[in-house]
Amino acid sequence: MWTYEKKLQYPVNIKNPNPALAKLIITQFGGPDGELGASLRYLSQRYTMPDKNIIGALTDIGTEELAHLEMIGAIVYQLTRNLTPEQIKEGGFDAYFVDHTTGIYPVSAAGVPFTASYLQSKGDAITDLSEDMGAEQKARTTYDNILRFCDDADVRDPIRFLRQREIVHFQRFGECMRILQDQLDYKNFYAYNPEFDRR
Amino acid sequence: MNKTNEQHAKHELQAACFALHELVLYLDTHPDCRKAMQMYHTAKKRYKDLYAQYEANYGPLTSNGVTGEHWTWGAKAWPWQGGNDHVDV
Repeated sequence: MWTYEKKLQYPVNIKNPNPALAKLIITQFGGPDGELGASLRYLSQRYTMPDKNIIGALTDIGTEELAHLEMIGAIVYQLTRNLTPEQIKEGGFDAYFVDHTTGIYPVSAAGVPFTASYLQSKGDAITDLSEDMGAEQKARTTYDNILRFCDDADVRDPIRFLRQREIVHFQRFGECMRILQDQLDYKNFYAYNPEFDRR
Repeated sequence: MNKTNEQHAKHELQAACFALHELVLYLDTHPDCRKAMQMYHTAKKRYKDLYAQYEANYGPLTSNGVTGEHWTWGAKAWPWQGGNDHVDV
C-alpha cells in the first residue's frame, strides 16, 4: 500500500505564467511517454515478474513516477495561474481551457486524452523490461524536446531534473535485464517464459 | 489454520493502520472535532508502535526501513505472493 508525503521530490517555483509552454509540458502528465503511463506500466508489470529484487525496482521506480506526475502537475498549474482570457487565447490554450478551464487533466501535447494503450504489461520478463528501457528513453527524448521550447530557468531546472531521472531509470532497468538474463539459459533466453512456463 | 506470529503481527498492523486511516478521512471533513483528534493521537501511537515492532521482527515495510548490512528490501515475498506457490526464476 501507499502513503502520501506532502512534498515534491524536487522543488517547483515558477514566477511567470506561460500557457503555450504548459500545453507542451502537459504531455508528460497524460501523453504517450508521460509519467502516468510510466507509473501504471511498472506497477502493473510487478505482479508476475519472476524475481523479487526486480519487483523491488519496479515498485520503487513506479512509485517515483507518481512523484514525477505530481511535479508535472505542479509545473502546469504554476504556468497557468492568473491568466487573462487574452493570454489564454494568445498562448493557444483556449481549446484546452474550454474543456478543462485550468484544471489539470491527463492529455498529450496534441490534446489526446490519456489511454492505457500507451503502456504494456506483457507477462514476459524480457519483453516488459525491454519496453521499460525504451519507455525511459522515449521520456528522455520528450524532455529534450520540451527543453528546446523553454527558456525560463524556473521551468528548465525541474524539467532537467526529470530528464536526468529517465537516464538513471534506464540504467537500473538495464541492470534488471542483466540480473534476469543471468538466471536464464544463456544459449537461448527465449527457451521459456519465466513468468508463465514452469521448468 | 493457525496463524503464524508474523501473520498475526501483520494483521494487527493492518487493523491499526486502517483505524488510523478512517480517523484521517473523518478529520479531513471534521477538522474541529476534538474527540476525533484525541482518537487520532491514540490510533497514531498504536500504529507507530506496532509498525516499529513489525519491522524489528520481520523486516522492512518500506524501502527506507532496511536496517543492517544487507539490502533486504526484496528478500521476502511481496504482498500479492500469498500462499506458497510463488517461484522465482
